[in-house]
Amino acid sequence: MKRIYIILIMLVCFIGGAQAHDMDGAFEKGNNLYTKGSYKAAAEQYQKIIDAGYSSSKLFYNAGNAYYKQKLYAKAILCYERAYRLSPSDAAINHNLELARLQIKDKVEPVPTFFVVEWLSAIRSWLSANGWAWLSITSLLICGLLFVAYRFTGTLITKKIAFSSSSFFMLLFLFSVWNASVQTKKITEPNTAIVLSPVVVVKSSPDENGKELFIVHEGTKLTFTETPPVEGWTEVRIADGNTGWIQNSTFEII
Amino acid sequence: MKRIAIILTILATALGALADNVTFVAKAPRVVAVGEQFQLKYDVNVMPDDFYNPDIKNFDVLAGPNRSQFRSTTIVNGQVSTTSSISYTYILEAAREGKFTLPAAVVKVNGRTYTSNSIVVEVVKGESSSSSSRGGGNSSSGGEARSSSRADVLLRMEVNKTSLYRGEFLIATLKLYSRADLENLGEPKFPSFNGFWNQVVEDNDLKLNFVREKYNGKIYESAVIRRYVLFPQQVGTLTIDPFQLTASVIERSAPQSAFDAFFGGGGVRATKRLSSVPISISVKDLPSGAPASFNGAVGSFSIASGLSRSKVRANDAVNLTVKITGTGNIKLVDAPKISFPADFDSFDAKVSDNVKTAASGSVGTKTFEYSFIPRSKGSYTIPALEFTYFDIKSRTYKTIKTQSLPIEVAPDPTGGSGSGLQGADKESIKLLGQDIKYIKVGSPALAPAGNYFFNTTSYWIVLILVLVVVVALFILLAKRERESSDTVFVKNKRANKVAHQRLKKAEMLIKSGDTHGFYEEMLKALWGYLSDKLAIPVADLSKERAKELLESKGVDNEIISELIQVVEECEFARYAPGGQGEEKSDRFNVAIAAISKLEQTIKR
Repeated sequence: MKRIYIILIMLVCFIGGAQAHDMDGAFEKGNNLYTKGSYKAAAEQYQKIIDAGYSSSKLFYNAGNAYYKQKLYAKAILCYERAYRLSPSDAAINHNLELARLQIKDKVEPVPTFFVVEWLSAIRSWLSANGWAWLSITSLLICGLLFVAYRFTGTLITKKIAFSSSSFFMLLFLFSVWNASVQTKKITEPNTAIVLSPVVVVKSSPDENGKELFIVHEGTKLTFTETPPVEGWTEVRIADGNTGWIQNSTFEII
Repeated sequence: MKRIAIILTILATALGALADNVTFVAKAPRVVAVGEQFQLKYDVNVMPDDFYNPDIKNFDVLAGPNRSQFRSTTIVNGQVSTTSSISYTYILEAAREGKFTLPAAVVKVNGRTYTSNSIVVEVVKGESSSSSSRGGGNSSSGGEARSSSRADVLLRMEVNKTSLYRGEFLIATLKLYSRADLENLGEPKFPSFNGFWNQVVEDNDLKLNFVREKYNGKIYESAVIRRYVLFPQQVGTLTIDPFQLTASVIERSAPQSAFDAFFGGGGVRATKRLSSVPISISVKDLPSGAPASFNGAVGSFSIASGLSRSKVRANDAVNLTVKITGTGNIKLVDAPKISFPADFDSFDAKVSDNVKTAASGSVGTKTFEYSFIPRSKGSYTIPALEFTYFDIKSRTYKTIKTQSLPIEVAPDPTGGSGSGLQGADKESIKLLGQDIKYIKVGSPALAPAGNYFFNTTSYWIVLILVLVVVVALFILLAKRERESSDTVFVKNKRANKVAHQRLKKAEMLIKSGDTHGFYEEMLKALWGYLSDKLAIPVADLSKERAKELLESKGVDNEIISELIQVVEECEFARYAPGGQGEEKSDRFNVAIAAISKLEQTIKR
């Protein structure tokens, strides 16, 4: 009985490994195609991996590049945004995302936010969800170790240093947990999307006959509002604060 | 043989072509008086082979048919064209009042027969017994002529309807009726047609074309001066102002002499200001319930639309042409509103019309040309255009639609960001000059999509593990510390206790002046302690012996020497005079410390 389990586990591992290996091969192939300049074929390779249910910041970044080179800026932005979520502090991803955003038609003036909120989100974007999760664990560990040090070292000065840094790491732990939860929520309940249809009319109500409020072009980032979606329609907000209903078929969730 | 056949064929074709141009028309006045003589003329433009006399009934044929021939040859730029016409003329006299038909005549030209039109002639009661055609004859009595001369020339405004819908059209005809010799006409004052939108019917011949017409039981020569197509713009009763004209007439009077009559004299020139009677027109409003797309078109229309191209590139201009064709107030039709797809830039329509105003109303086509520019790629549909008009015949609103037009927009080959001029600030221009960073190579570190670590079981396990490690470490360290601190403390305490017990008596003597006693007690206690500790009698104990034994027990040399020193000092001080209290307490403390240390070192 036990042996069967072991065999089964090994089999699963083997298949999984083989598939992942296959995907690594496709990634390599995509990179080679990209180097040769056949961006379309490269994008197909990358897309194959994405469609197979894999994700990695490198994969999304390279796919974004392949789409960018084909001037499919909306898809490029979608890929870059996904890459950005996985490694928000990557300079290349940020650079390319910014460039791709310059290529789209809609130049939305973002609503200014309170500077503290801006700072916090800037700090949050230093690490990905997993990065914050690991940081929370690490800081908790360091906090604990320093507390032990505080308790058990002899001299007053070391006690003081140990206590204050322990408190700091406690705060860091709480901060990381908060950031990790916010970042993870973006993965578990994604609420942003990129418009993929060339032109979309945003309506005042979730039906075809609704009053036309404004139009958005491909590549524009949408944020879902709290309003629950109505069959086939979702209420969205764009960066300048305007809200309206948009058909689900016209965008893709990041 | 064959050649003859060809020639014959050519000939036949030529003749056939010739025969096709045959016109055969009957002409006669439409109104005549009883007893009046008039001409009936059959004109044919080709020499006929045969002319069949019509069977003329109800009229007395006084003469005819008289055949007359007319031929003209014109040479224009060396091209010779010949026209000829043959007329068969009858002189008829109407015998009775009534409406009679002059039958058609038949001619034969090149073996084909042609039939002329037939003419209906109205015969009215003659007002004078000896009336001749076209007022040429003299009136029988001057008085009668004078009395009738006032009505000899008159203006009339004829309308084909007096009650109509707003937007519907009516035709107003200005006519001049005359029974006298008109010499001159002038100073016309045409009506202003307040409340109407008017169009003058473009008649080809501007000259007055007089025909006979019966009016008020009299025969007049009438001519149309002008025709108007009028579109009422207001609801209610509208009045068409009179039309005024000055006419010079030669009023005939009875000839004074035969000489006068012969030279056509005897007439008096009179100038009259003529005026037509104003006409009231009642205009009804269009029935309610007009569809939203109705914008005032009345008549009968059709609509068509088309695109200049159905496949374009983004940012290319495209034309949408909408043509409205029909009869009615077409010139007043507004450009229909077209709802272009939201992303298109559209411009105002360019309007052109080709409308002819004829006696049957305004007929023609109005063309609207809309220019628009698609800005993004995609498949779009220009929605069907609705056009509603009020149909006069059925008195209902009719809505006609164009086809919806699909348009395929390909991406702009120039990159599409041509319209990116909007809001391109300095920073973005700087950035546009750059290219994207190159792809990343190496292992992609693939993970299943939607993978996350926070708040998963493994996260909590790791977190708890960390907590467990820290807590375990804490507990471990605390335990160890407690253990170590416990033994030292207890030992210390006990050793101190032993030392204090031993030196109890000495301690009591520190503050007393008995120095000798103090040191005696000190030595006694120390030696007693050492003998106890080393398990040898006091008598056998010497400093050297004690040192040896202590060393053998593994006691630190420092402690031993300290102890020995205290003993020596006490022995010395025992016999020394004086001695300070401070010295005593110092030695006492040293002794206590030494014993304590010894106690900790040597296990019992």
